[in-house]
Amino acid sequence: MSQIYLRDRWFEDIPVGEFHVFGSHTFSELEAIEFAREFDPRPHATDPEAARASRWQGLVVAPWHVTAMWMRKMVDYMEVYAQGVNDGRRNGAGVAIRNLEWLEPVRPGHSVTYTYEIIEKEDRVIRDRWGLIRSRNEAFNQYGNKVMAFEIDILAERAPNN
Amino acid sequence: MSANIIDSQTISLSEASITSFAGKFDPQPYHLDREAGAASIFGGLCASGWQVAALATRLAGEALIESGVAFIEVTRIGELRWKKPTFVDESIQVKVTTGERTESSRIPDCLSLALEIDVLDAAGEVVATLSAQAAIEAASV
Repeated sequence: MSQIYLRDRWFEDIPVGEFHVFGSHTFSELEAIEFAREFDPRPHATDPEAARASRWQGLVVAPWHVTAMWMRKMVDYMEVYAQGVNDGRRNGAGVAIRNLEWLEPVRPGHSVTYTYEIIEKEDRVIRDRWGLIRSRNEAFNQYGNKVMAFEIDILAERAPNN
Repeated sequence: MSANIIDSQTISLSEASITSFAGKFDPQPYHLDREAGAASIFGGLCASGWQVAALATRLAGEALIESGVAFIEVTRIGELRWKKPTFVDESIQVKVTTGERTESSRIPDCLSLALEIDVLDAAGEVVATLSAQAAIEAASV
């Protein structure tokens, strides 16, 4: 019996409403500081002592670190199902995101779980071979609180002769 | 405070910084390897869009603070559009246009300030655009 794997699908094969849990990541203090030094080099994200005295009342994981980890979890998740389709042929680029919100701080030691739901497919052919998949993405901490959400439009290759 | 346009510092994206970020957050061939990048939809090894977005947010915050705005953090991005790839050793800077200020922010003791952020390459071409809301200290205005 043949099975269709996630990356082995054309735009036309991908159903609206599909939902995935990409998995969780626990942010360590070291990696939080390392990220912040490059992308948000302010004391509340890079210096545990200074962070305690700040309005943040302790070290926080930089917001973009929380978001960038979504991408990593997605790539890892898709790799699991790639089954040899590793040329990225149908794995199109992101075009735009909307309504990205960081709803509460993520702290070192917190575990964040990332989810993905396909909410819309745009019926438009882009550069002769791509379609747009719109997904709603959410991240929850270990207490079940939503810490981040956004929508993203990603290109997916359309089936040939379609 | 009416609309105001602020230019940021410039950051250059080295191959090491592009591949290091991609290795951690966006491990796809066109962000990791020159040959794979050349063969990809982008036509060259280029930075993850998330790296560009994070750097743009840093540059915007620093430019605001530099200009005297008590920037705390970006709380929301209404829309982010990636317009073109950023290749190895290209540099980016942002042009921040401040807009409407509103009383409410989910951050305590803060107001919300609308920002339009254009990410530009060295030639002044738009790499990405962000429409954002930032928390700024209420006591500062």
